[in-house]
Amino acid sequence: MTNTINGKLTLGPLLFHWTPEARRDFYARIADEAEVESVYFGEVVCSKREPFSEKDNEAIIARLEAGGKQVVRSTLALMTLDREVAAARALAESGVLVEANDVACLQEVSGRPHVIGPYINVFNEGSQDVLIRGGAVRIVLPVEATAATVRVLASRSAVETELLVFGRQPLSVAMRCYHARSHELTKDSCQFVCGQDPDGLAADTIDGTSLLTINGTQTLSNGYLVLLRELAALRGMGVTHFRLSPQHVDMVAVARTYRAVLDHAITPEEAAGDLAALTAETPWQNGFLHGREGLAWVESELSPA
Amino acid sequence: MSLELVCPAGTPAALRAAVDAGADTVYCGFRDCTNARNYPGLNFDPDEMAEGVAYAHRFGRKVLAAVNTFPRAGDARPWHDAIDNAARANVDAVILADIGVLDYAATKHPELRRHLSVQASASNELSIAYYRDRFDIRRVVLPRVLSVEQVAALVRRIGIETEVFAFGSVGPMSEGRCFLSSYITGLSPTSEGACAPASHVSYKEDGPETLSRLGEVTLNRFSHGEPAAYPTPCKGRYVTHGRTSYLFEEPIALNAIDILADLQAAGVTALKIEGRQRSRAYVTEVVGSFRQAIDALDRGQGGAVENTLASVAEGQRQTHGAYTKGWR
Amino acid sequence: MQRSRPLAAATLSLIPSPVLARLTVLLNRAMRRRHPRLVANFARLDPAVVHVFPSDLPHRFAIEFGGGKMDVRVLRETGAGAAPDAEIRGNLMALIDLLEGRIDGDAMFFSREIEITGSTAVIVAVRNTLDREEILISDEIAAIFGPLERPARRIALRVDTAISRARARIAAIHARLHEADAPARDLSAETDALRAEVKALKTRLAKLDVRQTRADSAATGAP
Repeated sequence: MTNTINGKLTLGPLLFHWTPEARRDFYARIADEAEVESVYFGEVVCSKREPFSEKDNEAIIARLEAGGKQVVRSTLALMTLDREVAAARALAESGVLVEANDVACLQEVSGRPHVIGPYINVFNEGSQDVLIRGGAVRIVLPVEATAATVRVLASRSAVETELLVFGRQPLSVAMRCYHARSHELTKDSCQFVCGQDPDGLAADTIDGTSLLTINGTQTLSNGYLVLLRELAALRGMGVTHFRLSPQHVDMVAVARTYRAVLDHAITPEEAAGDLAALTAETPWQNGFLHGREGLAWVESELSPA
Repeated sequence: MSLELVCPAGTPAALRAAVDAGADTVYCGFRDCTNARNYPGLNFDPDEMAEGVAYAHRFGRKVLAAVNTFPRAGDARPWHDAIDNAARANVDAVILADIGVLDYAATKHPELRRHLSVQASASNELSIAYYRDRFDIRRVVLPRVLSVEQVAALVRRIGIETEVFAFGSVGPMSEGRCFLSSYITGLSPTSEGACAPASHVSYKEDGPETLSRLGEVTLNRFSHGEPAAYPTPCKGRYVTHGRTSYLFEEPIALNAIDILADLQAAGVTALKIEGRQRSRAYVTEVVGSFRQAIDALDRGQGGAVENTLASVAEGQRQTHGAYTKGWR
Repeated sequence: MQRSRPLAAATLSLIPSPVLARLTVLLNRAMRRRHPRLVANFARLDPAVVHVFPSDLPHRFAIEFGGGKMDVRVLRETGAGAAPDAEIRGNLMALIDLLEGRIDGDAMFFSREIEITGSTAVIVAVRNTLDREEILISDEIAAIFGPLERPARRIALRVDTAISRARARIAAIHARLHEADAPARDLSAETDALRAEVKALKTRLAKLDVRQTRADSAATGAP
C-alpha cells in the first residue's frame, strides 16, 4: 500500500486531551484509512489524563495493528512521580516497541530495540552513536534540528531517522500546567481544562500577535510545521520516516497529501493547495529546518546535497 | 555534613569575589558556545580558568567548569576542546549535559570528575541512573521542578551526590529542551548557549511604559519602577482568553534560604546559586548571605539568619518554587 | 569604598572641558598601565562605539572598542562622526556605580538612573567586561595625581552626605571654570598644570566641605 522507497509516513502521538469518544473515533479512522506506516500511541504530556481513556487502549492498539500499522508506544516527555516512572518501567519490560521521550526509559530498554523520541536531545554524532549502541533502531530528531544537522546525522546513521513534517511544533515541556494557570487554577486542581481545547489554547503576545499554543504542561507553536517542498531534499539526506503530528484537522487527508508528494504523484505546490484547505486559518512554519527562527515561514528550497 | 555552597562566576573577578565571600565551590564556563551562559563579555578563556582554579585552590575551594550545551552536528570540536582545557586547568569537575560530550569526557578523561548539568533535565531516578551507570557521574544537579519530598526520595535511591538550586532565576520549563528562544530568535540556547541572546533583545519607550522585545516579538510592557525580568520567553506576559498574565512565570526569584534545614534533612550535598550573568555585587551579596545561613545551620541555629536578599532577587520578589506546595 | 563615589563625581564635575579632554588622554594611559586586562578584554569584543552622557556634565564620552583596540575620548558638543551602537545616559554617581561594578546586568535595563538606547548586545558586553575588573574611580584619579590620594580619601570620608547638598554650588563653580580654555602644552607641562588645577579644586572642595560640616553641626546641635 505504501511506497517504502520514497520514505515512510508515521503518525505521532496524540498530544491533546481529547474526549475518549473523539480519541476512539480518531484512531479507528486512522487504522482503517490513513496511509501511515507507524502509529505512535500513548500519553506524552500529562499522566493525569491517562485514566480517562486507558480502558480503550487495548482495543485501539488491536485495531491499528489490524489495519497494518506498526504501533510504537510513546512515553511521557517528563517524569517526576513514582507512578510515572513505574509505568514507563512496566511498559519497557512488557517487550513492546517503545518511543522513549525521557531518558528514564533508556535505562530500562537499553540493549533492546527502541525508538528515541523527539524530546530526547540528539543534536550530534556523539549522542547518536551512544544511543545506537544502546539499541535505538530509529531516532526522531528534535524539532529544533536544522537542515545542516539533519544532513549530517541522517546520512551517517546506521538506523532509521525520523523528522516531524506536519503539526504544531513542540517547544517545551514543564512541571507547571499553563492551561490550568490560564484558568487561574493549579496543576493539582486543574479540572482538566485542557480538554476544552482539542487543538490547544492560543497564547498571544500583548500586542495581539499569535505566537504560542498551550497544551497543558506543554508549549507548542501557534502555527503548523509544514515541510512539503523540503521532503525530497530530506529524503536525499537520508531521512527515512516523516512524522505527522495529530491536529484537530482531517489527518487522513493530511496523510494522503504527504503520501502523494513522497510518491511524486503531485507536486509540493499542488499539495500545498490541498493542505491549505485542510488547515484553514492556522499559519504555516518551517524556520527551524532552514536555520531560522522556528516561527518563520521560508519559501526557498533546501539544497539536496 | 555541612552543605556545600556552589556559586556562579561569569568573570575571573566574580570568581575571586565568590571565594572571598565564602563559596566552597565556584562554577564557571569558557568564553564560547560550550556553556549555557554564552553572553558577550562573559566567561573565561583557558588561561583565566587555570588562574581561577589556582586562586580557589589556594583557599582550599573548588572550581567546576560547565560544558553544558549540546554540540552541533559536525562541529563537536569546541566542546571537546572545552573538556580538554578544563582538565588542563585542573578543575575539580566538569558539568555536562549532552550524551555525546559525557561519552567523550568519560573516555578521554576518566579521572576527571563528572557532574550532570540541569540542562540534561534528569528529573527522576531512572534518568539519573542512566547517566550514573554509563558515564559514572558523581553528582546530579536536580531540575528546579521537584518538591523537597521528591528530592529526599531521589537522594535515598540514586546513590550519588545531589546539588539543588537555592537562589536565582526560576526556570519553569524542563531545561535543555526548551526551544522557545530559538523559535523566536533562530539562535538555539541548546547549542549557542544563550537563552534570549542580547543581540535580539531590545527595549522601547512607549509613553510612560517600556516594551521589552525579543526578536520581533513583544514579551512585556511595564511601567517605570515596576519589577520586570530580562526578556526570556518564559518570563513574558501573554494573552489567553482575552486576559493578560505572566502565563509561565512571574518576575520572581527562587530563594530557599529559609528552608536550608529541610534541604539538608533531605540529604542534599550542595546548594547552587544561579546567576553567572549577574554582577560581582550580586555574587558577593548572595554568597555572603548563604555563607552566614549555612554557618548558622551548622551551629544549630537554622533560621537565625535574616533574609535580606530581596533587593538582588529578580523582580525583587522571592519564591520557594517547586520545593513547597502550590507552585505548580 | 562606596564613600569614594561622591568625591569622584564631584571632582569630575569640577573639571573644565578642555582639561577633561587632556585628563582623558592621561586616563587612557593610566588604564593601559593599571588595567591591561580590561583594555585587552574590551579589545577582543566585537567592534562597537558607545557614547556615554553624564547628565550632570556638559560633555560626553565615546568608548571605542573591539577589533584589537580600545579608546576613550571626550566628544565636543557638536562633535559629528559615526552614530554610536549604543548610548548610556545617567548622572555621574550612577555611571561610576556602573564602572565600579555595582550595577547588575539584569537590573541596569530597568534602572531609572541609567537610560540605555541602542544595541542591547553591546551594552551587555560593556557591562560584563567592566565587571571583569575591580575598578575604583577614586583610585584611578589618585593614580594619575599621586599625592592627591591620601587627602582625597580623607575628604571622601567626610563629604559623603554634605557633598550632594553642595552640588548646586559646585555646579556654579564648574560653569565658571568651564569658560576657561588653555592653550596646548607639552605633556609633562600639561600634567603639572593638571596637578595644580586639581589641587586648587581639591582645596575648594575641602572648604565647601568644612563649611557644610559646620552647617550640619549647627543644624543638628552637635558640639
